[in-house]
Amino acid sequence: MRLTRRALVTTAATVLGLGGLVACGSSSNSTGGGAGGTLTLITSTAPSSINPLLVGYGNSATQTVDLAYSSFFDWLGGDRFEPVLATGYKFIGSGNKEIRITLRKGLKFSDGAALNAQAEKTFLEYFMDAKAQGSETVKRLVKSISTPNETTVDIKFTQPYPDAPLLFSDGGAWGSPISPKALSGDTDQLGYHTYGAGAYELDSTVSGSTYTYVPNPNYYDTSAQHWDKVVVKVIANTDSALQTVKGTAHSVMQGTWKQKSQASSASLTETTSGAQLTYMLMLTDRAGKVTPALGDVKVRQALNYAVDRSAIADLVNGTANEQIVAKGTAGYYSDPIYSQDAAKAKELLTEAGYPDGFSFKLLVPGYEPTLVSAAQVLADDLAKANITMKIVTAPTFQQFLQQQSSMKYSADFEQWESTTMFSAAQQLIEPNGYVNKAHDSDADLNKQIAKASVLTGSAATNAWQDFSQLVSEKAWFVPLASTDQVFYSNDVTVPVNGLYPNPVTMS
Amino acid sequence: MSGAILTPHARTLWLSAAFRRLAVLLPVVRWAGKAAVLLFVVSVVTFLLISLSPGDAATSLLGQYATPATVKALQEQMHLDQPLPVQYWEWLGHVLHGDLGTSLSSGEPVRTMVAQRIGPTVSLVLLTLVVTAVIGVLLGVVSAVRGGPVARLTDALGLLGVGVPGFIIGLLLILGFSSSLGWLPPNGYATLADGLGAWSRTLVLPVTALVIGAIGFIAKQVRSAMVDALRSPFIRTLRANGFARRSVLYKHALRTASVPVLAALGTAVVGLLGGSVLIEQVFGIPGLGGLAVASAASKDLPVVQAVAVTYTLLIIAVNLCLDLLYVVVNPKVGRR
Repeated sequence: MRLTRRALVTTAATVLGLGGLVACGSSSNSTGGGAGGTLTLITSTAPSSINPLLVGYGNSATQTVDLAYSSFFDWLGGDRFEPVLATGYKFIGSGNKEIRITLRKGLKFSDGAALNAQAEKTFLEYFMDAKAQGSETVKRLVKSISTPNETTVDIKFTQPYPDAPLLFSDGGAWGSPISPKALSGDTDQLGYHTYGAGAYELDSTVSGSTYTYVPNPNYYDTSAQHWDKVVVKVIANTDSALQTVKGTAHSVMQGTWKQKSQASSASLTETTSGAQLTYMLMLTDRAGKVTPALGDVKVRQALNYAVDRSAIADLVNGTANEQIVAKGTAGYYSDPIYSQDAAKAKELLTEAGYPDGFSFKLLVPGYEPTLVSAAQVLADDLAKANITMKIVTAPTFQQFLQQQSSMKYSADFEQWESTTMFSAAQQLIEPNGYVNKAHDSDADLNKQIAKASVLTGSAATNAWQDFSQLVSEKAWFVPLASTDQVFYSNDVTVPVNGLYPNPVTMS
Repeated sequence: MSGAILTPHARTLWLSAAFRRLAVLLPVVRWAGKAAVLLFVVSVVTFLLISLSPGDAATSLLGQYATPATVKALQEQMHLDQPLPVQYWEWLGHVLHGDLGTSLSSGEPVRTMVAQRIGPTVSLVLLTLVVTAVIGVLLGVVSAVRGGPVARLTDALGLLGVGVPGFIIGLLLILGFSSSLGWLPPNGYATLADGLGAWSRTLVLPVTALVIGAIGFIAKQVRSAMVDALRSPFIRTLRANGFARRSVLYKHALRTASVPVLAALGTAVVGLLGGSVLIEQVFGIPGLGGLAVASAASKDLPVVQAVAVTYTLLIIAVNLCLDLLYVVVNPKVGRR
């Protein structure tokens, strides 16, 4: 039986109908160039919240905060800060225990409330009680906050804090205040509305998918508002994201090094970050409770001798690094202590009483394929020194957290965001550092931190160098390699000072 | 009735009329009862699966380096420290008053989040269903009547749909039609407000991926039902009485075959809703699937519950429509 005309027409209409609509569909996502237009920021994960105190880490987190919550300073790396909402800072007295910040006059939040010294004080007090990640740190560090006048904030710390300006920059959260009007109302709204003093404010959102920002009419510097609209779009698949950047003018994404040639053939611009991620084994069992061998510094040093940092550097497209901060950071020492030497590793193990080696378990986030691959390379290296590293992968972030908290693993494998030597000491080494979950303490390290924290200039740099060498000798960690972040953009300039680019500076 | 004194006969007549009216409502009441039970079971199972797996919304939000004290304080704020039955009862109480709660991650009203996401999913699934039904029915009819290459194509499509996951098909379509040829966008979703053309452009590839997965199954169901229908005595009688071939095929045989086909479409909808979760991820469509994945990963219980209940309601609604279609297609079903 032949197909009837009606059946043929129906088939054709159905199959070709969509094609016809395709043909007369609107054109792709091109926007106008020059001043105005739309900037599209592609990110692989959505921020967990747009509340600046709960936003988490990573590119999407940084971008959503930077857009709506400008900070007092932009951190340019090292001890260089560019004034944004504040005009300057200075340490009062000696010992780096008190800082004075001077705000610009006439600042306003996006909801019209005044951004003055009192507003900053209100914000910091809220931060202390907010049940956010940095809340306990604020509570612990801040001795007092005073506001001698409308534009001056004086903060006294409970301990020397040479990195205080960093706290108030886009590298911290203290200097990105939330409007006092919002803090006195329903604070649940902070998760899906913005109340900052940033160049843009959130206009609309499909939570987890797109976040659309428009210029904040109350921003102090309208010349810095280069775009009519900034759209943060979540596209999980990085290849798909690259295709989107290729087809969308004025768009940027964080990519991978494997996409370099694809991006180049699509005429996209490649930009690398000014700061780095360091791949590091965190030897959390320094007390030797789970694996007694790791309680001995010689065993931990043996691990540092056994690994091939160059191989890991090649794998992650980075540079070998044995320190807890990236090269170029003040206090980074230039001559490495460790080189790959399996014989030396075995010698140290013998001296420590482990002539036949030992074994330990490493927890690896299974959802980070690069870490899984690197862990396998490391296992092979360590085996040459009679060290058996059993890799346990946690398939999800929640399971990783749960297993990490159980303290049943001697080490875990992480990517550590580059920061200053003082901040690294605070977070990784100090007994109450938030990464030092076992609250390990070393008198030599603590003494060196206390010494370096009160110094300034070249004396501080030298003291931090001594500290970094001491950390390497104590071998609390096995840092392996540091890598830049790479960004691909289409017809937009992407200045990068920290680990992630600030979208407000893109033009 | 008021003010009148009924004779026994009149009373009997009134009562039997009332019972007849009630009897008409009984299927509706039964259907509503089954739907309520299904929704309850889905909500309980979803709640238990999320609650009993590692972690919670507080640890997810605060991240890796939060102190135990901060986590505990946030858990208390979110009522996650309450016993599970209490948490569920609180949620159920709010839902029965029309309040789906707020997201534990963002604080946003869950109703708003679901409302934003339901359109793309419904567009994707409905469009896929329509295309699958039309092409599937045509393929099925032709392969039942002619056999030969069309029948083999139907079998091949069925094999493809079962053997190759939809998201793989989706990735291949992106590679071909977007990356290589540049004809269609690789991801994203435009609403109808952006224009019919833009809306359909963003749906061509994801709909095609889902259609390829479902069409073989529908076509084979149609073929099987048509073959049975064409062999039935009443069709032979119609042919013997000189009825036009087209009338016999489409008016009589297809009508008879449509009942099992509608049942197959109902089953296909469940598969399409499940398949749409991955397809939405591949194509970056901001639908319920993406919300389900993200909220499950962050243990955002109110959102996960709302999405599960919404999916269940969609399946219930589609199956209700199909049940009503049965009656239209075959009035004897309605009389029963």
